[in-house]
Amino acid sequence: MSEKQDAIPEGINELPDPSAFAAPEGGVKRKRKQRDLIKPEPLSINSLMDIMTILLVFLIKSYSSDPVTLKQTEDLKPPFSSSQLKPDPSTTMTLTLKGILVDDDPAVQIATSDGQVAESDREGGGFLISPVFTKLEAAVEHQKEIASYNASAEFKGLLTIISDRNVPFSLISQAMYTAGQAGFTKFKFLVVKGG
Amino acid sequence: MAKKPSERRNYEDEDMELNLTPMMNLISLLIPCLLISMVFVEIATINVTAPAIGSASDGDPPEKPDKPPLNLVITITDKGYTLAASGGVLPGVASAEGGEATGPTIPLKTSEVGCVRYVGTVPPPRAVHRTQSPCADPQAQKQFQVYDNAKLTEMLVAIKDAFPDEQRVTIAAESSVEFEALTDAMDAAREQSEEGGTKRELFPEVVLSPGLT
Repeated sequence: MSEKQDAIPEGINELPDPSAFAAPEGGVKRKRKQRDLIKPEPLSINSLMDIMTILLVFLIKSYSSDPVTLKQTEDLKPPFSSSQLKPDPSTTMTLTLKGILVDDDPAVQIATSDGQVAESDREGGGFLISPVFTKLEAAVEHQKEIASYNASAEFKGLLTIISDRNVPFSLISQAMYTAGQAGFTKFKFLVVKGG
Repeated sequence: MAKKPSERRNYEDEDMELNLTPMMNLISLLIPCLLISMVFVEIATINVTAPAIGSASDGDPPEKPDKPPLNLVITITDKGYTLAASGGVLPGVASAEGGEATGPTIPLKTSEVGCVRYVGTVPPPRAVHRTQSPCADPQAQKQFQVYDNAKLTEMLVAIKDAFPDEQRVTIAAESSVEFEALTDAMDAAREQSEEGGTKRELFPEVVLSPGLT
């Protein structure tokens, strides 16, 4: 077609100057550039942080929403029940075969294996457990004092009884009698859902 | 701010990463901490009225009802349940194990019990199972003498049919009866599970009686 196409540019068959491939004089500079390229990206933990933050919020929320918390131990295993009633925030009394606690505060220890409080700790025909009575009365006083300042925190006389399933009825009735004397009128037994 | 020419050239490299390490430390400590303290058992409560001690002001309406109250009482002993009401005590039913009519209304019965609720122990009444080996495998079924809760519910349904307005049941027990037997009886007295998942309410108001002497 034209002579232009056929025409071979001058110098195309010549080899390039080998000096162009040689290391430049500033060899150190080039090495640094290579190192900069290989430098690993910092681990992206943004998504992990998202998961953890959501988990944290969920855990804190579920932690604070239970009015009554239950920690099962060898000595404290509440029975199963089909009841669906939700627990209400209230004073708690924990009964085990080893002792009685009022608001997680040990009130009296039980030394015998039959789950009976020592006679010396009982009054009123053996029904009133005095150390428990003292603590419950203090709890009632405390709640009534709050109620006198805050009308919405009315004293309802509600007591949640957390009891081990092996506790004998005699101890339960003594504890309830004691609570009744201290001013509690309504009782809730804490149970584990299921069964 | 004005930059030196040498800094201006590296402007793109100044994309700083937020240092999240302290935050991560905090969170990775807090999460196991909260997980351990979290309780995974679902809890519920059973409302109970105290035996009438001193405080007569609570509860009962002042006006007299037309009918005399039923005063239904379930007494739990280590031999079984005894049902009583204003009319008198229900006599014992003859059971397959030869329960005598003088015994409790609903004697204990021997039946296969699933061990899932009683791992490491035995079902109530525990006094009669002293010699038996406790449940070890939660999947196992073992023979025990247990309270006949199904029969109790059945009889209470018949009583509820005759006295539909009655809500209250008094539960009394021997001093050695375990708390678990008490809650089982309350469950049996509270509602009846019908077919299709519906529940019929029987006697939801439980009054605990101070006990047998």
